[in-house]
Amino acid sequence: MAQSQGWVRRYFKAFCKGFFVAVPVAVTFLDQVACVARVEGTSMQPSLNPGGSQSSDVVLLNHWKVRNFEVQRGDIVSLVSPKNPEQKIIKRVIALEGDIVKTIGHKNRYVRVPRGHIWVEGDHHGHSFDSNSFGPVSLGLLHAHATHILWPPERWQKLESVLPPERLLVQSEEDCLQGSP
Amino acid sequence: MEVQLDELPEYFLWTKYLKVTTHGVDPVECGADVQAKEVSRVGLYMYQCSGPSMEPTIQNSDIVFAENLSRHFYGIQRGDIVVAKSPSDPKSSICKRVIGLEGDKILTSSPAGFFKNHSYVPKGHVWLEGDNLQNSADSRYYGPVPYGLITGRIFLKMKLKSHNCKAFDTDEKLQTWALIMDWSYGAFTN
Repeated sequence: MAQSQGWVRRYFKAFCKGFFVAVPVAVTFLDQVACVARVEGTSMQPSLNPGGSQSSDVVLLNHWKVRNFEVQRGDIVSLVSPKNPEQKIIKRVIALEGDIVKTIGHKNRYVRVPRGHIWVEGDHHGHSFDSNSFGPVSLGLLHAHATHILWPPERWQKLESVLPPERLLVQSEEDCLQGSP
Repeated sequence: MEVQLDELPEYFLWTKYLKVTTHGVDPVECGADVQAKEVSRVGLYMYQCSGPSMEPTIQNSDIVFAENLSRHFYGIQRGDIVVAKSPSDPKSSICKRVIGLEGDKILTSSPAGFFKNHSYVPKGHVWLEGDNLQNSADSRYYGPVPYGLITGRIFLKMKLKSHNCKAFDTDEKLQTWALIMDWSYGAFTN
């Protein structure tokens, strides 16, 4: 009788020890390194959620890559929505600081992206709440870089950082510095 | 205004899920800017402020403590002093007072001017101003700041004075800091 009770106590102690180590480690990992998220909405079609509401893609979000706020044009990133801080939105980076973009539906035809900001757009123009609505977003709102689609299994792929050809920039910062027209 | 600050020793103290970190700060020229590193889920942060933009509330090289629970539960009020990531440089932080929340009407022109310009703070943004209005780069300069850039709310400040101790001078220029027991629990909320 005493032996079986001792076994339960030992088990309980071991469980508690493991629990208080595993939980902070897991939380830190999910916050700082990578986590997984389901994509809702149609603003990134056809890259993400081509099936619409029938099947939502699940993507791998890599926090570690953006810990120094380094992104490239064409990356798919998740960021805190500037209009609603409780929500995260997932868009493609079109332009970095210093670039001049030709906007679609923005109040100004051409916008120069200020220092410390980026211009993001959804691939499905017209059905996307992006920089064409709220302007350039500050890099501090960057949350993670979406690198792979994990679910459904038939859509398992690495997301490429490619700028859509029709969204070529009017002038990028490198061109300005080199003095090309 | 450039101030020479030496590095504070850095140490971590884990108490369950609270992380208290001290940081050395590089001086920044204008505004009460702070240097901070990682933001944890539930955290208590300690910063050293540099710059004149929050005088007289926070002086240059004061130590301040900030918590991020208010920010997570959307409890930031008008009148709170917050630490936020700088809109033009995500790696540095700014320390300002919240003047307006979303939807508030803000006077953007000079209060003594003849023509008064008002604007409304857009949804999801806050309007930040330093207490030292003549010497502060804030929302009057770069516009309303998205709420997502706020990292913490300051609730405590402490004065710190350094002493040069010759006995400890080494090639690495170690200096000891003498804490002056001057805890000022300023009125940071209204």
